[in-house]
Amino acid sequence: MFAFCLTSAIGNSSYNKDAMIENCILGMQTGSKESLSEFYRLCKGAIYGFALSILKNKQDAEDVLQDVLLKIYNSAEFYKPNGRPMPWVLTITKNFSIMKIRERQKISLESDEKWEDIAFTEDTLDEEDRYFLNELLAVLDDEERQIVLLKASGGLKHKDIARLLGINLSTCLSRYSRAIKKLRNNCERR
Amino acid sequence: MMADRSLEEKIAKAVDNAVPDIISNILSQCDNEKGKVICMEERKNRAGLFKFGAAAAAVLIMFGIFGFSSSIKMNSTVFLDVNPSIELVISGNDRIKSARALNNDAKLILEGMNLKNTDLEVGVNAIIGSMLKNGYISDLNNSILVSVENKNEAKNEELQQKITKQINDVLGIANVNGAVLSQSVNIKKPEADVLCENYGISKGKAELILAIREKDPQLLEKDLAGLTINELNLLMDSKKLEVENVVSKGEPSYKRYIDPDEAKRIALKNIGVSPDDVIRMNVSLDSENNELVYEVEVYLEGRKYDVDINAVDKRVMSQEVEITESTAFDVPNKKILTAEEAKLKVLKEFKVSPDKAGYVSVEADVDDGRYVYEVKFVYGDYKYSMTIDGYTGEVLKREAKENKLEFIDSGKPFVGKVEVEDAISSILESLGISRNDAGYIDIEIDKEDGRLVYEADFKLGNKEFSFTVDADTGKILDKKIKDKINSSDISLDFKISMDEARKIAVKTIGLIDSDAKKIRISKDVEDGRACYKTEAIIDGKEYSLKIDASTGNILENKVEQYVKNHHFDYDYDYDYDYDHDYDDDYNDDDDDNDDDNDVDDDD
Repeated sequence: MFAFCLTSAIGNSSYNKDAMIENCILGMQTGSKESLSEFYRLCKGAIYGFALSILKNKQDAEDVLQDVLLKIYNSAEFYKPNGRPMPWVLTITKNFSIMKIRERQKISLESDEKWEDIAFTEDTLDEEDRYFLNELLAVLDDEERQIVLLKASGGLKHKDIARLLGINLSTCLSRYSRAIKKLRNNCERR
Repeated sequence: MMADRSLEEKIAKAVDNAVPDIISNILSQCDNEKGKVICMEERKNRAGLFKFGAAAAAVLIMFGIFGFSSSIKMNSTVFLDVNPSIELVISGNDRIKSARALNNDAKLILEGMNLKNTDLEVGVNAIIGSMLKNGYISDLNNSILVSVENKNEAKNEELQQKITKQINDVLGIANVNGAVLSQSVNIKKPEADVLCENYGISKGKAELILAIREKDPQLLEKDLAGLTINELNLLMDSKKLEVENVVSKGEPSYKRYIDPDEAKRIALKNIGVSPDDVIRMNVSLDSENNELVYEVEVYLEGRKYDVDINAVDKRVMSQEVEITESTAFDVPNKKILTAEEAKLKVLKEFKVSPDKAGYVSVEADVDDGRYVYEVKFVYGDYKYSMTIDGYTGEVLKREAKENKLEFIDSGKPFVGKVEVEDAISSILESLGISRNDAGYIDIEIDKEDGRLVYEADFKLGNKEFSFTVDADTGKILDKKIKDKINSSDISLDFKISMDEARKIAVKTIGLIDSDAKKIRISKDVEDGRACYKTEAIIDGKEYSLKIDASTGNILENKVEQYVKNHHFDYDYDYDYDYDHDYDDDYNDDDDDNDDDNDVDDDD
């Protein structure tokens, strides 16, 4: 199957946020707390969101957020800069989330939590935020939600999302577009 | 309709706002964790994740020289790995000074044992005995790894032999044939330390893994770290890896696993073919996700299957098929349509006369083993496209729609600030072409480097144009102009026979005749031209050629180091590597595209 495939080259500018995040990690290599704070500011959404999409429990996700930050702070020297820090960060997040699930399973045999059961009521959220979190994201299934969050908050490329979640690239792309369609459909009904 | 690009941004904003503010907590915790602590207790989760819980009983005895001075009577450190991982510190006169469990399984083994000051042999006896009793060493798992750290080579050797003998004695009594692997530990290897810390394994196991990877770099650390010593030994054995610095005695047990022949049988059954249809089969043992799998390649007429089978439970983990040769090419007594004939046929189907049609583009392609022509043109307010069978002219696909610019893939949620129509107009203006002349334009919307872009492709005359335009500013970011193959050059005619092509390949690569049959050859169509693709793996190198099937000219000639092509590039259950492996995983280790050229990729 060899059809003509015309693609185009990429522009040369680097994506600023990734560069900033990498700088923070480099800063943390020397133990800089400012770098840690800045890193927290830039990445907290991605880490918390992804953890939440796996654990569906705010307290657990918060624990994971803390664990991940500390882990990165303490292991920053092992990070090799390559322009794309988020896959690394989110893999760590996934691992801690899985560890959390295993911990939880030891205590109780609770079945899976549901996203719909999480109540997003914080003061920091405006009405639109609440709608998105409580209602709109709830129409997705777990995997669709994870893909969307990894893309929206994490800024990952589909290839990295597929790798992280352990699915095929093409599966990932089709689930993503299905998820977006669902979201758009539900949004329009508002 | 949902406003611009906002969906994902709004989600990100909502999530960001939902995060509890815990930065002060984190900052205060930082002070408590200054310094690196290699805490094996923390790693228990990961150690416990090993899928094959039972220990392999390969004893690798590693001897390294450890000591601050050249004194012979310094302590040695010995690591015993089976699946339980134990660290022993041995005094100069062969007494155990301390015994430490490095993982949960080891804790179980050492429970209730007080090895302090016991004689080394007695201690080893007790430990191995406990492993046997607890089922970590058995007929099914008989590999044990012993690693010794002691700079004094003589002492090293001595300990090595002593421990090996003791282990074999104990196993002999239990009627188990052990497989013992020995190696020395190099204290100063930072890569080993990183492995050790990230996966919670002993230095001994880490060194073994590094040594294995040196011989087969395709095996990734994360795929090896969770394997038992027996499994590592099996991999080494089945791939015939001659791992440096490791002395291996005894045979690792395959008893837990199905043998290669059974893997082949399962593969064939899954595909649904009989062995008589098979041209060739390859089987090899590999590790994926800390599980041993057999990778079976089955070559059939015109197709190749890749089937991955779990070596323990016989599950088929994956199956992929590839068309290697198009059977449509071999239809006897049928003449293939020329591009010109295809064009006329399509125009006739649409009832459009050739002189009114404007620019008509014809592409030859192979679709699912069938020769096809894809013909596209614009006429009046409509754009037409049709795909026909290259032999019979049978209509396979047809489409006629309004000649509005629209996205190929309308699943994308974004729209740029610049209207597509305007963007296209400015491109055409810059080329001095009218909309009508440009004919059929394919447009895609994509994101590159965080920027929304339109990608527009169209053909004109004998050139193909490809533009990338910033969707918010309308600025042309990139343009590519390529010479298009003329319709008259499009030929699906294989003038040269496959045998002749094979001869050309043999000559070009410079092979001897007896190697000729190692060449895999298949028919193909590229850029509208019939060609042959050949592949041969000889002496660790992979030779790939593309030969024009009309002229016999070499279109492409590539020689590469042969690297075994593993599963689809994505490694599941990705564990975080802090070392250079990580780069291999991400940066263009992929066999195919660069990030930049990946049409499928969303940025």
